[in-house]
Amino acid sequence: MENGEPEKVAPASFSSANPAKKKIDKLIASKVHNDPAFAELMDYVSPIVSDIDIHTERRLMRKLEQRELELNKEYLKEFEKVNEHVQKFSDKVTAMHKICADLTDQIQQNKEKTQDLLNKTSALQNRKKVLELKQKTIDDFLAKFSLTEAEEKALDGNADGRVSSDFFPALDRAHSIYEQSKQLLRTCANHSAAMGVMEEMSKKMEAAYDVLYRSIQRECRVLSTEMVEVKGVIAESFAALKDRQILLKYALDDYANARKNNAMRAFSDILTRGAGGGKPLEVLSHDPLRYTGDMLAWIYECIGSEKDLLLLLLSKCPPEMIREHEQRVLASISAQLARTFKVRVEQTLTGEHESTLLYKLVSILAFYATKIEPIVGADSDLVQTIDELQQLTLNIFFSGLNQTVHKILTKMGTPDYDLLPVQAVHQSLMLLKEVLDVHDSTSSGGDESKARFDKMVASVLDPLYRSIQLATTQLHSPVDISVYTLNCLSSIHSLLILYPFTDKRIEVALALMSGHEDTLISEEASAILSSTGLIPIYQKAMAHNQSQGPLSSISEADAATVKRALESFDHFLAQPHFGRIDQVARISNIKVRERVHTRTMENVVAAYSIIHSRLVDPFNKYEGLEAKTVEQVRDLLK
Amino acid sequence: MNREDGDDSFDYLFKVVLIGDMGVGKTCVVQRFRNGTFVDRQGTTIGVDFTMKSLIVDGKRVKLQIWDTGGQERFRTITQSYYRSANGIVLCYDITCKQSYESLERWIDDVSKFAAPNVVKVVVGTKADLESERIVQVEDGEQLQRRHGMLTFIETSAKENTNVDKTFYRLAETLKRQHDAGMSIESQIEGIRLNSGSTPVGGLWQKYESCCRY
Repeated sequence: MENGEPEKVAPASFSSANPAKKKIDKLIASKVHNDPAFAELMDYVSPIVSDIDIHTERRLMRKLEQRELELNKEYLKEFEKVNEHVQKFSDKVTAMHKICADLTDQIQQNKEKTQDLLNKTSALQNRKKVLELKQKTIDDFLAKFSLTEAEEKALDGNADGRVSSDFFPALDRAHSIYEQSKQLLRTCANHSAAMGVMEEMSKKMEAAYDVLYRSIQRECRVLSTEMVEVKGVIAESFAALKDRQILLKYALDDYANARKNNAMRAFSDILTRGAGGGKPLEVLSHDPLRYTGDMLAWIYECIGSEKDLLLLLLSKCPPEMIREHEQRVLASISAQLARTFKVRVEQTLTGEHESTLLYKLVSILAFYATKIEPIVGADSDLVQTIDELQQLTLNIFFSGLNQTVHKILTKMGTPDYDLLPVQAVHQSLMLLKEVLDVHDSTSSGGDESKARFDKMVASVLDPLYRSIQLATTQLHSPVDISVYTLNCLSSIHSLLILYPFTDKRIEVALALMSGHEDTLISEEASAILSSTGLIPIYQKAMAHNQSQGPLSSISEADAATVKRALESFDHFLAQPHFGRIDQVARISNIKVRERVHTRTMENVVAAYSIIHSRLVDPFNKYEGLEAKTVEQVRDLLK
Repeated sequence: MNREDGDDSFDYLFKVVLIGDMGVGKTCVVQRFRNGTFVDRQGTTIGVDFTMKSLIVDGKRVKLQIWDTGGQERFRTITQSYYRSANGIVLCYDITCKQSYESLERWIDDVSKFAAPNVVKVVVGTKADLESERIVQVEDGEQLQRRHGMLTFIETSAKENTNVDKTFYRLAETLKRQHDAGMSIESQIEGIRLNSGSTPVGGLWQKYESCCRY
């Protein structure tokens, strides 16, 4: 194209009329030879212009147009090629664009996907954090709610089966964990961990208690062979069982068994071999009192030291637990002693009839029963056995007493002339005195003691009374009967007043005595009055009635008879022993004798005063009679 | 009441003696009165048995000393000693046994010989529950009571607890009233003590003169 332009410019400058000067100037001014573009143009046009003529320009023009056309055509052709390439390229670009869009899409998608992942990751990270927190909590929880290895080990016990002192804090911890989880469970009902822990702890504790129980068994076995001071561990072991009453009971049972055998061995030793160089107790078996007493003393001491040992064992237990088990264990330990003791005592009892000894034995048994009962309890075999033996001895005692009394009384003879109680009465009373003395010296008071006392008195006195009365049936004079009975009753009375609880018996004795005293008084007063001849006069005086006329006119009451009688009475007053019944002097008891005498004389005076009142009455016409006044008679008879 | 026992819990003390043939049931009557019990087979009483029981009469405590005597012949002399100081006497016969009724004459004889003249007597027909075996009629008992000037006649059954308490109560009541009245009589009769502590002199002359009295 550029090649064409100067061509065009040139003609334009040639054709312009006015501007033509300028153009010519320009043309002239143009130094074409120096212009390379022109040179080049020249070079290009020169070959085509072969001749210069008028036509040359036209031809050249044509030729140039032709050439231009040709060139255009070629250019077009080339351009089409270019177009084709561009088209191709465009296609490629389009395709590429499409690919790019795809890629972008994909990238976008990936981007989205990544976002998701990121979210997930962050969620996971959060969860991880939560989980870590949880793990920490759980670790804390576990640390709090599970036992340490050391604790676990302690709970398993030592290799020798015993537990060490570490055991107890571990057990305590297991227990507190258990309690805490229980608490936890209470606050939220379905806390499975708490349940798990509880289950675990309860299993552990069960196992631990088992270990503990076995350990105690072992320790107790050792205890039974050597009487060592109790180690703190055992006391703690028992205390630890406070929540397992059954195990505690079993453990204590085992302990009791061990101690029981030990005590039994010791008892056998003391019986058959003696202790501390002393003689064996068995050598005393001929002396039931000492034998029984020594055995009981030993048993008492033994259960005393067993009690101390037990209290030491249980020293760390709460007091109510000690109270609950103490007596039972001691009762169990002493049970076997009771059996051996019983057999021994029963052996010594056979063939023993001596009442006082038997009663002393009863007292010893009673004494130890009251001593031992608070230690082992009333229901224990030992106390029961002692009570049984006491009852047995008491039965033997009473049957022996009855037999002895019977034996004495069957030999009772007829009263002698002296009307004093026969030997059998004294023997019976001596026997009664002996047993009552023993009772008195050992009596603890109380209703039982009184009842026993009454029974003793009855055992002797009732048959004695009967025998005395039977014996008196062999006497013929009522005076003899009364004197003899009085003498016997006096002996009985003087024995009874020495003892308590005899009021009723004394009353009976006194009432019986008063009956017999009355008989004697009546008999003696009658004897005095009849021996002096005053009886008929007295009788007439009593029956006399003034309508019958003066008393002196009645036969047997006439002045002469009365005078004789009064003389006779004076004689009696001078010698008051005259006319008296000599049996009365045989009343052994001075007080009774004097009482009988005094009252006899009172009766005599009373009778005399009636007679005297009639004698001094002028109506009865006793003149010149010298009758002593009642006062004189009373003074004389004093 | 001149007896001074340690027991202050009574205002009056009277002695009551039960007599009658062996086996008429004196001990059963006493047991029923004393303990409220009945024991069918009582042993034979040897000599004298002694029991006490207090009653309230007219608001006063009356203590009865009851002497249950053995009915056997051999104890007759012994038991006589107790009549002398007795204030009351209960004569017993068995309504199914004629002999026991007839024997009463002898017992009454003893009483008049040894007991105080003012002693209160009661006649008791025992075993009233054995009506079907009755031999002694009620009239016989009443007749006896009137004849001997006794306080009363009662038929009793210790087994069925009929009239036992009534008998003793009646006796205690009479004794108390007699005693209250006797206090004044005592002062009238010069110096003679008609009380339970001593045998009244009257008792001893009777011994000599009983044959004349009846």
